[in-house]
Amino acid sequence: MLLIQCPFCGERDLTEFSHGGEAHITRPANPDKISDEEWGDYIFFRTNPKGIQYERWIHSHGCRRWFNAVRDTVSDEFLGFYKSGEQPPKIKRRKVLRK
Amino acid sequence: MVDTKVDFKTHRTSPLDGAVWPVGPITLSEKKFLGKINIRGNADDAAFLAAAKKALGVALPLAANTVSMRKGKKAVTVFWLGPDEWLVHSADGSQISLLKALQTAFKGLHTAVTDVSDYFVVIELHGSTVHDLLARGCPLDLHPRTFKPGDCAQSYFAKASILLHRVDDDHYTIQVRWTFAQYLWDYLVQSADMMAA
Ligand SMILES: [Zn+2]
Repeated sequence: MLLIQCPFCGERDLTEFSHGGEAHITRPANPDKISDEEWGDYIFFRTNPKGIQYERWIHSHGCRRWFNAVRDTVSDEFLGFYKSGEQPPKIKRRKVLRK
Repeated sequence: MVDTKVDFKTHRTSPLDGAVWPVGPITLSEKKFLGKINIRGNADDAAFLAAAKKALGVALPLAANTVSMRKGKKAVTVFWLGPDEWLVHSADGSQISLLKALQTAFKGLHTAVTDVSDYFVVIELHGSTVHDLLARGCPLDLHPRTFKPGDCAQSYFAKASILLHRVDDDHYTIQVRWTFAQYLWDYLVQSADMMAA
């Protein structure tokens, strides 16, 4: 059982939540001015890192609020949780234990 | 002249009308036609909190997943649903005047007050093994160290989203969407059968 820390409700089972993809993707300031390629990049392209990722989650069966989490995409370990609008916690890139 | 006024109360039905609960250590019943009002507002605004308290007769619970209650003739139960969202249960019919009282109290404040009485059904459960029954479909940790009397939580039971309230050690209520009520009831009956087997 994987537990997720909702910033409002506390620790709950993973199955109460839905994943919302990579966090901190900023909408382009001048949508009229940018190229199709830049639009495509904003809409479709994500970093997809092997390792630490900042991502969005919603407590969909609970308080129905969005928040952010830091997760290692290799081990699936959660390294931090924070509310939308808050500064992401500084996570030290850890020594990689895997090949 | 013919009085064309219709008494809607005599024509009302619930999705759990006729639902049967087997005899056993747990009892289940529906709390029919409770008034239910959803409130949205800014918990950091002292004027909003004061206005809500004035209209409800009890302060909004600000601690996450807790309940505040007013006893007596104007009894209400107020549930924390989110950092800016609450739900009020009140006696059948009282929601109409309560809604007006809230709207009056919130005049000039950035709030939303919505009557959701017909959107949900409330089921009441009694028995010393209720937590075992709930654990069959709900991922919450129901141990009293994390879920005490006076606590509430939104979660799910099987495929139905629920609002669970621990009224007392062996006494819970579940609020579920109207369209999921029959499903939830049947699932609870089946789970209780399996516990008895
Ligand atoms: Zn939550």
